[in-house]
Amino acid sequence: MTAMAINFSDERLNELWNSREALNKKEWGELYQIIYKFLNVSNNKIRLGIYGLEGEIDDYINDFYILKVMRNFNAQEREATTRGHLTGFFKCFLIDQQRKEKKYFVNQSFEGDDDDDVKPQHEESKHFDFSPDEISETLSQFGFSQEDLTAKTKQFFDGLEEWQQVVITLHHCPDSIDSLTLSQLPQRYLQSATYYKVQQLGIIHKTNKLPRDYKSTVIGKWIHFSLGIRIEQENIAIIAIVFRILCVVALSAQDI
Amino acid sequence: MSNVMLYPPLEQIENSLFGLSDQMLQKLAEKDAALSKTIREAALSDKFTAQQVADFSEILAEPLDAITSFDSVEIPDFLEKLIDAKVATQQTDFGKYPQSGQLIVINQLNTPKGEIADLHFSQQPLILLDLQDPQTKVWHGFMVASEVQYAGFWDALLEPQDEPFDPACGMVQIWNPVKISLPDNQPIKALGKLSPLRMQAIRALSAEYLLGELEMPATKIGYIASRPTFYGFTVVTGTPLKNDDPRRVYQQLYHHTGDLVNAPVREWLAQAQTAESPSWLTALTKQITQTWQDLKGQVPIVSDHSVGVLGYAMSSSESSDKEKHILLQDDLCLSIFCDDDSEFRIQLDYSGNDFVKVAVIDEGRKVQDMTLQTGQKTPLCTGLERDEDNRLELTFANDQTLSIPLSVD
Repeated sequence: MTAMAINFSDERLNELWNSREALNKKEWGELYQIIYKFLNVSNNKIRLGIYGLEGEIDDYINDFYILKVMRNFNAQEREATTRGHLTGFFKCFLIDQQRKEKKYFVNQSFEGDDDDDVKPQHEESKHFDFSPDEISETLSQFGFSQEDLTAKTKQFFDGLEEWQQVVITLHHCPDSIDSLTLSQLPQRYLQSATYYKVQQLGIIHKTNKLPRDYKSTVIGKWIHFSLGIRIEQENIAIIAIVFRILCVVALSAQDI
Repeated sequence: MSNVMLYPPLEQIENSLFGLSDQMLQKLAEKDAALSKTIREAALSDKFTAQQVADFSEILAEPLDAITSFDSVEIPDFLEKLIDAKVATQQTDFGKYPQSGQLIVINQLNTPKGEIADLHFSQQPLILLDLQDPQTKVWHGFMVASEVQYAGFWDALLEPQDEPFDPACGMVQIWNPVKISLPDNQPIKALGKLSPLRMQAIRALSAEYLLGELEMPATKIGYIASRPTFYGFTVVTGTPLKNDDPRRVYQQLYHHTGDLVNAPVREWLAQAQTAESPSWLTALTKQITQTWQDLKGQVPIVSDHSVGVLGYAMSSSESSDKEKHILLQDDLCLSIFCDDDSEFRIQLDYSGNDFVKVAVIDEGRKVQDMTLQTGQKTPLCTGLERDEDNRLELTFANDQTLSIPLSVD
């Protein structure tokens, strides 16, 4: 979109703002440009430090765009929206970021774990805890050596898309305390656009159970068709070892 | 509380659910005459809201810097993807009327009688419609949220096979079921639609939530992964919660939202269930609300607990026969308390801008007679007996007098 195609005016802002339920892609992009421009020109009035906030104002503008601008579902409400109103909305949004000192008291659980007689097993499955001998023995049953499988896994990992490597390396593989939530991954909004694609990738919970359609996932397909390990519940041990080696490869790649 | 930082912060989520909408903040900043003094004072009593309104007012009063550069910027990739998802959703017809599998926006709540409940949300709730009860016509469903980083073991994330859906929809809260009434022939706004097969997966997870044996992975806050559930279905969920877990607070916030969404149908169901042998308090409440509706044309909101000034009711999950609070109109609340089977007490709370004269008449004799100004309550009027002819008379600033029986016919 060229600069001359964008009408940076209150009238155009108002028109787009009040048509959000029906904008096309070009118009959403135009609205973003107007909002970005208006909020940045007001930059000398919007200093994040005043609100005790850190980071870049661009990130806050993007947050505002996602959480406020794009989330409007009431077509009946029509308000005259000027650059001043927009700036006011944005400042209110920034002030909301300050509400961080609140202490919460939790008096309910919705996980069904309040009953002492029905305690969920929060320990990881023993299938994911192997001694070196167990690993060697299991691998040899399937015709693998550890070196061979590691090489195949590295080849697979190197062939993944960058976001897939990042999810495996920083989100799935580390222990709980070291693992990053998806918001902390280098692509800050990875979670917005690709969060749910972990299912397609084949990231699974560490329990004794495999999803039935697991071999349709990226990792599942590789295990089943490339490594020749059938995706079946009885093979859970070798599959767990493959995952373990995948993590070793991924974390090693991070260290380079 | 755990040190794991999830996005958005809990306080921001709470404010988006229960705080003031941007439109309300704008009205406060512009000193909209339609806002009552009480509403304004209540809103500004919060220091953050006061700052928001002050900054907003200042912005509107001052001229803004001129725009001197007209360069455009590159839109980030992730935003492009969100816009694509948004546009794809807007261009898809998910059906204009309620259907199972739709992800819908709630702009207003209705009772099964067709009345609009006086509940206002800062952020419109999103719901996945499951099934409609053929007898009551009430829709059963689940709350839907966008904050996928807070996903727990019983939150089903939407998946690529569910596309297109609005980016505001992230996961289905299986632990947060709702019941709503959707009027016949009133169009709904749908933000997506799950296939029948996916709805079976959702129901399977719901069944596991209620009946499962709970073999769970370790807690890992912010982590999501695939897992099998009942009947061979696969879903993507988070991990179980632990004690010191920000997701507990998150669930509490959304459960409260679900509670409000459920309130109109729950109240209606409670009344229907006690229709044959209602308690005295329930019968009196029903009579008062009907009388008020006949006199004023408005449907009061009834709660078992106090109703907040800003207009949302905090209702409990069980009906009470010890007290009822009837919000007769925005600025007038009648509370009735029953401690035993023979006597009751009442109290009125007025928050309007004018005044209201209150008289309680017990067997023809005035036992309470006073004028309420803004923000005043009557003292508890005690010693009223159930089987006597009691009345409440209200006279408003416009000289309108209403007489409300306080005995059950």
